[in-house]
Amino acid sequence: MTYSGSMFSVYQGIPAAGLFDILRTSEFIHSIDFSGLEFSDADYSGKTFVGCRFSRSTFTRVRLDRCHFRMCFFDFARFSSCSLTGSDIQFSSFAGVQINDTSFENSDLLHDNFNGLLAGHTSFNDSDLYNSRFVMATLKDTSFQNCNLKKTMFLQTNRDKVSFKSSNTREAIFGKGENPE
Amino acid sequence: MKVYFHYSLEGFSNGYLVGNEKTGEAVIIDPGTMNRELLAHIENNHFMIDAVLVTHNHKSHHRGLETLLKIYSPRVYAADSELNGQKTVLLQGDGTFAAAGFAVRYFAAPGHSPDSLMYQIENVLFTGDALSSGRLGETNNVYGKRNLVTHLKNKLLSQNDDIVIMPGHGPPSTVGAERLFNCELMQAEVEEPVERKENFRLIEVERF
Repeated sequence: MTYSGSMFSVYQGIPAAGLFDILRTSEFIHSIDFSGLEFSDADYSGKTFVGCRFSRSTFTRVRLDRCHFRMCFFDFARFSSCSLTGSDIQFSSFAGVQINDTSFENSDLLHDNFNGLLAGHTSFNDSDLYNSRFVMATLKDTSFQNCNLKKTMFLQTNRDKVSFKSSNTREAIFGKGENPE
Repeated sequence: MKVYFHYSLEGFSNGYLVGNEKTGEAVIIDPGTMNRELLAHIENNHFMIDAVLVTHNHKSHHRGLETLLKIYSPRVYAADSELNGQKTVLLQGDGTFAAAGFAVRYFAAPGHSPDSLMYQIENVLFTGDALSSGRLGETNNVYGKRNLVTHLKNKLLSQNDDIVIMPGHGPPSTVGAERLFNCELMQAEVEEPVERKENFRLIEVERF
């Protein structure tokens, strides 16, 4: 698997209004730094993002269904009541992200960094989480049902009402004494 | 700068192709495999491979070198003078060199292996097996772990939070994320090694 991404340095310095225009009008978006922006009540479904940065951005009631993300960085962003159903997110980082009432169902989430994730009322059901990591994540009312968890790492996680029903937890990596059920 | 991520199923390691769109040159970091897919990316972008940067001498990180060198003639940089019988440009300690029009910084980070290096090109740090997201590289002993942690604190955590980390295994990260969520780096209170001198004496007594 090979992905490409210019590292979000090309279009730095575009005013926020211009960034929203690009997001609204383009289907393929690459190398843009959207850090710190607030997105709400929008539908960006079906778009492709490569090498983009969304660090510390907030997403409220945003639809990103069937979107493709490659080498994108969402570090310390916040998602509330969003939908990323059927998305294809690979080699991207969601480290330190807060997610509430959001769906990643039926998605390809390969080689993704969810370390330090704070997730509540979130569903990853029917997703492929191959080689992704949830180190030091806090998961509450979150479900990973019918997921591929091969090489998915759950180390030092705090879990409350987390379901792994019908997922291959034996192929996942849990810390010592961190029983998946 | 354009970065391509290349995942090798042999050893589950990450390799990277870093292209310079201005000069048309590129470097390859840790060619764990050299296959048609990677070759297509090089050829479709008309990249001239100027250098191969090897983070450490483990097969999963340079298995593709042999094939690569049959097609291209790049300089090979590593902290070993030879890899697979191929002479390299030997790197020791920390420093900077030019490759593919980039200023490439390199940092020694021994611990996972004695020859571990990290490379930095612009705002991206390629850590090899010294560090992956949320974890330290595996070490064989307490001394190795302590050595690795010291190097990472001085050379990685001293950098800006926005610096992107592209590791030898697993997903990408940033310096800011590792500062907060690398459980092993946080638990860096490595136990002091058992008083070695006394142990050696005990062994000697038993032997004689």
